[in-house]
Amino acid sequence: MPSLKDIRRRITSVKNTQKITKSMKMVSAAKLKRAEDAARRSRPYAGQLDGILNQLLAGVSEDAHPLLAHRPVVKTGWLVVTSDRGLCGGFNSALLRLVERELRDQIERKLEPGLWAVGKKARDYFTRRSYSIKGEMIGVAAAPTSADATRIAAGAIERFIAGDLDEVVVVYNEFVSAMVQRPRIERVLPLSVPREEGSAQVLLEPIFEPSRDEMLAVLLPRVVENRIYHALLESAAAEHAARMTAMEAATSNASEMIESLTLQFNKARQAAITKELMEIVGGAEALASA
Amino acid sequence: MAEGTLDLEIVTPAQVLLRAPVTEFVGPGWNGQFGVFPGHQSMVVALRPGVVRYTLADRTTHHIAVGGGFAVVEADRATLLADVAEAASDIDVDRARDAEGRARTSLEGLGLDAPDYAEQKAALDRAVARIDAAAARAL
Repeated sequence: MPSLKDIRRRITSVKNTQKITKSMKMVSAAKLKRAEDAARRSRPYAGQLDGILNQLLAGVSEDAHPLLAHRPVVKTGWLVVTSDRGLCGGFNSALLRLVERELRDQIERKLEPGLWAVGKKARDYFTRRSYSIKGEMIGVAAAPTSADATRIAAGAIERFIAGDLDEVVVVYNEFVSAMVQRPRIERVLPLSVPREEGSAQVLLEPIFEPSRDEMLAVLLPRVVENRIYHALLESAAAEHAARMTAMEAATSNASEMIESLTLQFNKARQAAITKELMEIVGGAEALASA
Repeated sequence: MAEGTLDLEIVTPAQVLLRAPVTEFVGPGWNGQFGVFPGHQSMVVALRPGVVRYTLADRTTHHIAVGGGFAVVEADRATLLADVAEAASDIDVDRARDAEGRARTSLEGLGLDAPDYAEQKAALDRAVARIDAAAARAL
């Protein structure tokens, strides 16, 4: 049985840990709110951009622009979006396992996947398993900006056009709710031309300045950037949500532990008191009978 | 919508900067400035970095600096999608001038086909647009 002093020391240490998890939870809650706001504010732009895209692509064939070219897929670029920091429950591991499964599958089929890591966790995971990583981006995951997305997109677009990649997918945690994050694989290149659903509602063709083809050249890279930006924002919100949930659980685990340790402490103290009393009584009796 | 106005919206990836009925606006189009009054024919225009000027129903005129982007114009509404946008009243002219100076310096050493050229040129255009917007407001 541990001594009173040992138990007291453990209680103090668990209490300190709980203070940390509690404040991490509150910090994550604040960051989650900010990330959710950022995601919400980005929606009108994304919606409008898709609107223009559909208008421009109506009746356009796949060879109208290199970013629309569907080639037989041999080389897939995987943009894996994780967090830089841990302590966020199963946030990274579920996603990384999924990616690894897909990679193995592609390698078995004699395809040539390439890996790009956004976030330390993706980089470390695949480096430890000796996959080669073609590029990494650290320090953007928790609060991504559209400039970060532009930089990632530029690299992807360049390789896609050069033929180094036949498709580019981004893998990220989708923010479903504060409690639920879901790994998601989304193809960002080549862009697909939406199929008209018989809704030829364009009565009067709008004026395009510059021409439709030139416009595509300006617009399509933006669309790719925006899709990646969206993935980064979702992932950031999901990360903070996951960390908040994990820290919430850790805090309540610590409470439970403190409770059971306190019980143990009281029992031990009572036992010590009883023992002391017995000794006094025993001593007195010995004196009386002497 | 009030009579004689169209709803103008300026949207960036980070926020909706403006949503207001205007009587007219002028934007930096791909092939030069274009002006729009209510009832304009539908059009889609690519934007260059520059200044958007718009007039509210109370006849006050305002300026917003935009990076590149797109404008979708319909008869009763227009949406400008800009990479970045900043209202003239929010622009820090000194910072914009610094950015302009930096971009000019780094452009000097670069050839036209250097990989950074386009990026630096865009930075320069954005800085100039912000300075112009701030100057237009001061007039």
